[in-house]
Amino acid sequence: MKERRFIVIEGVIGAGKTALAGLLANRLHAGIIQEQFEDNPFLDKFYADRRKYAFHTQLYFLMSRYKQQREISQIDLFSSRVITDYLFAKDRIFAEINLSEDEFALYDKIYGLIERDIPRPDLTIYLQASPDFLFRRIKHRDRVFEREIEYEYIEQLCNSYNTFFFHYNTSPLLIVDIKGFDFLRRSNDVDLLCNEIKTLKEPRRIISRQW
Amino acid sequence: MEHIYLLLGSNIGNVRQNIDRALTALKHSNIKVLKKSTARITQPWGKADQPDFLNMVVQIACEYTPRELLGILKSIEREMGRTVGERWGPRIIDLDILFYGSRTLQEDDLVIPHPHFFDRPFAVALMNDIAPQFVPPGSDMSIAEYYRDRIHERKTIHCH
Repeated sequence: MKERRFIVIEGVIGAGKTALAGLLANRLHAGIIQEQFEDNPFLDKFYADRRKYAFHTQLYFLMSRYKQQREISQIDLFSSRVITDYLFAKDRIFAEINLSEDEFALYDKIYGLIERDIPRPDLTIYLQASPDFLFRRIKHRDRVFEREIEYEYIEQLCNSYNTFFFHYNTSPLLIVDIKGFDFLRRSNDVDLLCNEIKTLKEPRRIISRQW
Repeated sequence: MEHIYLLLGSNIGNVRQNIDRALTALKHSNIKVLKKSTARITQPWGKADQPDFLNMVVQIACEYTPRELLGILKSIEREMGRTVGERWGPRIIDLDILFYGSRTLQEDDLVIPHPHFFDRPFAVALMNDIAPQFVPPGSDMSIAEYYRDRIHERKTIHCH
């Protein structure tokens, strides 16, 4: 089996990407690269007035994510393993939701130019959840810059993410229905996921709790 | 007003667009869509060697009887190019009646509530998105209570 050196975790706000990246990095002896979203100086303005600050926010994210992805591609992936808590393409998902048609057309030209330099993951993990579940988590964790997020926005993101990952084929894909898993409190759940990562042979697979 | 819920699914082609087309077709048939869940990626049921599905649950309002509603749904499926094929096989669009208020029906080609609803975690999850308070006929638990109870039994399944 090909070693999975570059693993990406993705999911809508509140899915628990960052925490899971930390847990997996620890378990798989990998380096971890986290998105620096709170550095974006437009973010709190954006959540307060999405229309007005969408383009600023998007361009800032695109630039900083690009820079970080270039750094990942410099890492010697033969000798080390890397986990990130975001997929570069998420930038475009958000852009499509938040920008006007004209803005998005312009954005997409820039995106198309730089996308080819982005390293491809060896495995992508998508944390799927219902908007209700995510919204409650966001309220519960109460990050300052997330306080203004509206339920409808989470709903819209869920729809866009689910459609995006339905067609995703850039790398093998593990879809985890996170309801019923508790990676932070139950190490068995992390074991199970590690095992899935190691044994995944198909191009994609869905893991969920069943009754 | 009776609470009527449908399950929409697609696993061929532009799945999101297929679902949106079906929603438009419902409107054109004088069926009002009151609430929509998110569209969720799910594992194929019954026959696993086929692509994943995108599924959505909607609450509708209409003047049709269950039998008439079924006829309209089948006609939308046909219109959208689904040929009568293999059961549980791949499909452009799949439209099922999950619940029709408190009614229960037991006919050859029409069983309400949907006979497999409770076997399918994703259907319960989507229903929980838009109608957590709904109490299915013959049950003493709301969807939310059912969902919470069952998910805690914690068995893991793997699909394809």
